[in-house]
Amino acid sequence: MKRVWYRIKNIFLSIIIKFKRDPDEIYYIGGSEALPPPLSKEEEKEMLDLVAEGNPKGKSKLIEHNLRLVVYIAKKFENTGIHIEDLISIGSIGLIKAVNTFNPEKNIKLATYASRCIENEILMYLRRNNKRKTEISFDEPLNVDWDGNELLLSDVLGTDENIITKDLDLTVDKNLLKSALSKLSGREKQIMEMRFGLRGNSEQTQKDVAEQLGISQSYISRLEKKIIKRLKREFNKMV
Amino acid sequence: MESKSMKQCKICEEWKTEGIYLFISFICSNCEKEILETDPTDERYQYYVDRLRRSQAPKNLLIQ
Repeated sequence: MKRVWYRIKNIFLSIIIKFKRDPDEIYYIGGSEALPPPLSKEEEKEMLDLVAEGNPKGKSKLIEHNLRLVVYIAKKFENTGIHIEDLISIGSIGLIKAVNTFNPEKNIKLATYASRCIENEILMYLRRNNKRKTEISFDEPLNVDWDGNELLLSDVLGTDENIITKDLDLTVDKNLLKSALSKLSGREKQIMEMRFGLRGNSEQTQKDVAEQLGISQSYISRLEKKIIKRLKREFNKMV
Repeated sequence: MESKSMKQCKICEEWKTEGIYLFISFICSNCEKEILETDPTDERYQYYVDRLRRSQAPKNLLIQ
């Protein structure tokens, strides 16, 4: 008898929805049809029994009559930058999961359980989205020219041209310097090593070198200029 | 010609008989099962969100 009454009520509701005669309703994205109101305790029990029997109609009804909950919860997350339509889709997925995993034997209302599932689903999505905000694709278009050609991130990414030859060049330069230095007298070589930290020591000022060698700074300066000129000549001969 | 009891799934767009209704959108049992097994951290998740959104009409956003 209850089931017959429920069916009559449902048909009546469908007719109202069809002719849109109930203005005091919440509407779902997807049309002007109002979202059905929540089920009464008895109706919900009846639908849960249908679900237990494996009847998909029970599941559909439970989902349908709890969609207001999805819309209500989704609207709470509107300021997160995710479009309301996406939030409702995510919330709907949460509701489907809730109806599928709800255990009527546990002392909790379906609406309470579903609210948690819907909110969790949205929160998990937001967390994933926040993580991905820092990621960027190589195919990300940076700009588009007048002809509609996209400039992709991969087009501007690259390494320094000399990344492979840099170390080789440095080794060659070191060898050249070593060879040029070998042409200098012991004292000249010592001055250059002290001034430019060539033996792994730190560079020293002309004043420091002058003090250590017991000669004047101006003499060191003159010697340095002379030695550099000579080294340049040696380099030119070698290259 | 499709049978009367066949409905087009909003996710996979195939015509199926078994499934659930998400208000006005029909979701076949296969897609429902896949949705249940998909987590928001999965790559596939966005696909379902997009499909469900596509089944909505943004212009008719009539939530009060």
